[in-house]
Amino acid sequence: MQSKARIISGFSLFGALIVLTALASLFTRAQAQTPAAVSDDDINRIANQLYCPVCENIPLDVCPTEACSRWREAIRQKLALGWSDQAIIDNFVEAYGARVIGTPPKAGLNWLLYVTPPLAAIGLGAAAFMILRKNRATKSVPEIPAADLKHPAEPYRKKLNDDINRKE
Amino acid sequence: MTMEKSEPVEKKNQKRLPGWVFVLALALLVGFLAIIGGSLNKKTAAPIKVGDPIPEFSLTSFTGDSYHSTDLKGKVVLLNFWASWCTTCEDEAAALENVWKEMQPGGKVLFLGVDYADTEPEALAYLEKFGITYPSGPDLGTKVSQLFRITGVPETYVFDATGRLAAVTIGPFESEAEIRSLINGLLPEG
Amino acid sequence: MSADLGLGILVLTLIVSLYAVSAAIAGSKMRSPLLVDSARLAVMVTFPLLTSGVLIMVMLLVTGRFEFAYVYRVASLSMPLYLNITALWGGQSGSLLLWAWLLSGAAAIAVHQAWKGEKPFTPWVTVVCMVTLAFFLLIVTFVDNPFARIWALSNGQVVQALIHPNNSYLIYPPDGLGLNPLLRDPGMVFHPPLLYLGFVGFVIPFSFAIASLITGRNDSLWLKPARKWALAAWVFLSIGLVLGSRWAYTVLGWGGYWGWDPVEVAALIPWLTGTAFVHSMIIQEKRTLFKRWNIVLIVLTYCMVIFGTFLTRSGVLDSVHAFSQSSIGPMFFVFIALTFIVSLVLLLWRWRSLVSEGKMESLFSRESAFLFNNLLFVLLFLICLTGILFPLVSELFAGTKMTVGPSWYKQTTGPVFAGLLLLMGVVPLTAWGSSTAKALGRKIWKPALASLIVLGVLVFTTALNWGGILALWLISLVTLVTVYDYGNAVLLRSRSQKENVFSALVKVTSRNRHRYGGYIVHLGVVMIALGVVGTEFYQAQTQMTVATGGTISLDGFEIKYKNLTQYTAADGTDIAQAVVEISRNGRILATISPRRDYYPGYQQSVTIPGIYSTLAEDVYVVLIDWQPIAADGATFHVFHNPLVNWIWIGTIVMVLGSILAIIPSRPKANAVKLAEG
Repeated sequence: MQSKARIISGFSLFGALIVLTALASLFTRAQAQTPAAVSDDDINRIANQLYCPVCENIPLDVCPTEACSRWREAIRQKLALGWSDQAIIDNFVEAYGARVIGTPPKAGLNWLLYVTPPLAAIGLGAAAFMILRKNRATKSVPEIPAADLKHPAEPYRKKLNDDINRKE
Repeated sequence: MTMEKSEPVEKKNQKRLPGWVFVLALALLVGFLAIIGGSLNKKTAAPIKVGDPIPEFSLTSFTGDSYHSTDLKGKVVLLNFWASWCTTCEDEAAALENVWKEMQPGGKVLFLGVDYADTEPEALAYLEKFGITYPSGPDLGTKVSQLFRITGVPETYVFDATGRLAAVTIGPFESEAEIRSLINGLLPEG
Repeated sequence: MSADLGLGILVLTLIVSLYAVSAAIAGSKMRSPLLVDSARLAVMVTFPLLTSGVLIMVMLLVTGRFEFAYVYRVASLSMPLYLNITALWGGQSGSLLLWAWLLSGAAAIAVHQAWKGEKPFTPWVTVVCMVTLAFFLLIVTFVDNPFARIWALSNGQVVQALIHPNNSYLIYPPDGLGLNPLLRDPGMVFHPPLLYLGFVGFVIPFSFAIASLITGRNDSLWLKPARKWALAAWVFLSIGLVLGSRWAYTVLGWGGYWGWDPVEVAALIPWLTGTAFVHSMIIQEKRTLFKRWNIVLIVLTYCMVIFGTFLTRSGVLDSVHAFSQSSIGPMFFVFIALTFIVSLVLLLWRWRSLVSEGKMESLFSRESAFLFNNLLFVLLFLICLTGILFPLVSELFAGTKMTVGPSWYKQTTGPVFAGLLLLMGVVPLTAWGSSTAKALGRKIWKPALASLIVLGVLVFTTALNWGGILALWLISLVTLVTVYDYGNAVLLRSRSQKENVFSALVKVTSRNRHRYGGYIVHLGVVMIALGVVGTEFYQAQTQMTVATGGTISLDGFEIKYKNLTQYTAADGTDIAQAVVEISRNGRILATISPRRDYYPGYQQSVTIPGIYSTLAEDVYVVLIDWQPIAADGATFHVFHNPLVNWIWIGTIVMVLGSILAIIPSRPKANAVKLAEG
């Protein structure tokens, strides 16, 4: 009895393995069908972010040279192999240097590029604050002492003060 | 209506500009000029002149061998920048290989190919097409080409046995004889 | 003969300009109006001199005198007449000659006017203009001379030289190389001269500012002539920049109009400080504030003009626009160092005396708004300067080349442009002097509320593209506020003067041209912003290879590849022209012809797009040659660019508004203007 149970369980295990392998092959076969489906748009999506390593500041998707078409082809092949966008870009940077991407990697001296705009904004904001404060501090016209409020010329003095305080 | 003053303002309205402002402003300007001047200098000056020592670099060939500039002392080194997409490189490829075949047995010369901004399958195909046997490797990150500040391909730098630059050739060599006489001129007598 | 004449003219003009500098300085020191007048005349003489030099050069280009090296390089028998004339600025030395010629013209006018109106400044305006001119002439005459010819030496070597070398003879090439294929376009006719007019135009207000600093005045006398020149220069520079964009868009076929290329940014930087200046000077006129700001801004503008010219021509920048490397870099560097240092020293010297008489009393006043405006533009200036200097810094200190691309620029400048839009929406309703948030709020709540309704509509009807929605809301705010304020003034007048709306509009505008010209300019700017927002946030694109008869779909449009013709043009150009039909919902909208022109001599091709344009959008089709182009399969890159044509329309509106603002007001109108405030 025990050996029969073992044979049955062995067979079921074996059967399950076959089914699973078949299923797996189905999936891999489905994947193998997609390499042809890498579209020009997919290539452009990545080439758009890259620059021709050899030309002067020309993006890879519009670069007309033979070398650039080779690099675009290399991108197509990598996409077909299932590489992610970031992996392809990183590989391109490793092969050709950091100048092939438009945003320098945030390391070392490159931090200067990312830090300067915010610093400039803060600096200018501080300047604005200081300029406005300095201007407003010297704005006030001296108050009329209370003792003069009953002076006969008071209404004229008040009018004069109002005129001075009003700019238009 | 405000009065237009054409005379310099009375002393009591003048604020003294603090000294540090002068210094800071001038320092910023000088710094800016230094950057511009430095860049101009770098772009217009020859990257590496005859007589300069070999710059420090490493290269791993397509076959996996490593070459470092420090290992190259004692030999006459011909460093050739090329690319598979470069049509003029093909003009000199055969000549380079022929001279290499002559010089290699002597053991006193090394030819090293630096593959500039290329794709590996095409590069290997190029090497096979011309039967290149001297070591050649990809310039990863274009580090070596930036170090030498090459202006294009092909470019060739020849270093003598003491590790100093002896000759630069921009563009392809005219003939095999040109390469041969260049190397022979640098080899020690005998 | 022409060579000698041309060289002679250049040398003579250089001598005259140097005489003008010395006579002006001497005349000022010795208080001799006669000497100063002679300097002024010398300035005016440089213009006809350089004009004849330019005419000689054009004659050489047009008659195919290819023994001249410059003519050989840029002209060709295969190019039409207008392109051979345009070739004058197709290369380094010719374009520098153009620069010098335009500067001499501007200087002649400026000095003539100054003698009439601002006599104390005449010597120094002369000095600044003529020092700049002399510098450009030095380069054109001695470093890169367009009149150099091609000689063959006795040893067979071919050289370029101005003067006949010993034992050599002239070479007469049968044809020239002609302009680079990318430049063979009407865009080349207008874009560089307009840019140079802009650059040159800013030299004049700078010279008046320097004159004011040197003569130790702290009033606004320098501002009167500076204002007209700055506005005119600003208009030319703006048109030049937009034309460059349009040329890139309609001809070069990469789908966009602004690539944030370093040379583009270098030309934008003076525009940024120049725009700040034309705004800030209003405050000095009306409130005698911002004296220091104005001097600093115009000095920065001039310095950035010279700096940008240097960057483009010295080989320091890696760019498609850059001229081929030459030896003018070091000379330019010396000139830059000199002018920057002298300007800074003069500024620091006179800083104390440039005290403003007015006060900024409130955060919500118009003065404060203009202060924020200055700060935002200065921030943009610093960002752009960082962007073009960083690759240089990286190469210098880290030894590695870096590229600063559009995504960095867009991320950093985007918020600042949004801030500027917001400011444009608020400023028309601010008041001079002390003003409170409540006062501003009272005036602005109606248009602001209307803009919030627009915002609501956008959120509920368009795709949730937050950047785009925010930008569109800001645009609606500016439009509503501007139209509201303008409309109020018109209606007020119409009711009080019992006029119909149209004549009220004309009267209101003509009585306060500065203000309402400015409003029109802002409406133009907002239209440009609309086009930019449409393409930045709502663009769609796709690229596909299709066989003849095949269709590409994009955003509801059907793009059908009908046929292809391939032929060789008379000048040897290999042309592939596709016919493409655009339709939507089954209705055919247009037939367009994207082309690929291949120039065998240059081994270069230009892909000229076919464009279907409406007010609402462009459908833009480029014939790509990634794969060989053939009837059975051609690759097209299709763009849907919403609202893009508002950029060009807005530019026209902007120019019209500027012209209105530049026209001087008659004295009578001035008195009324003052009364109306």
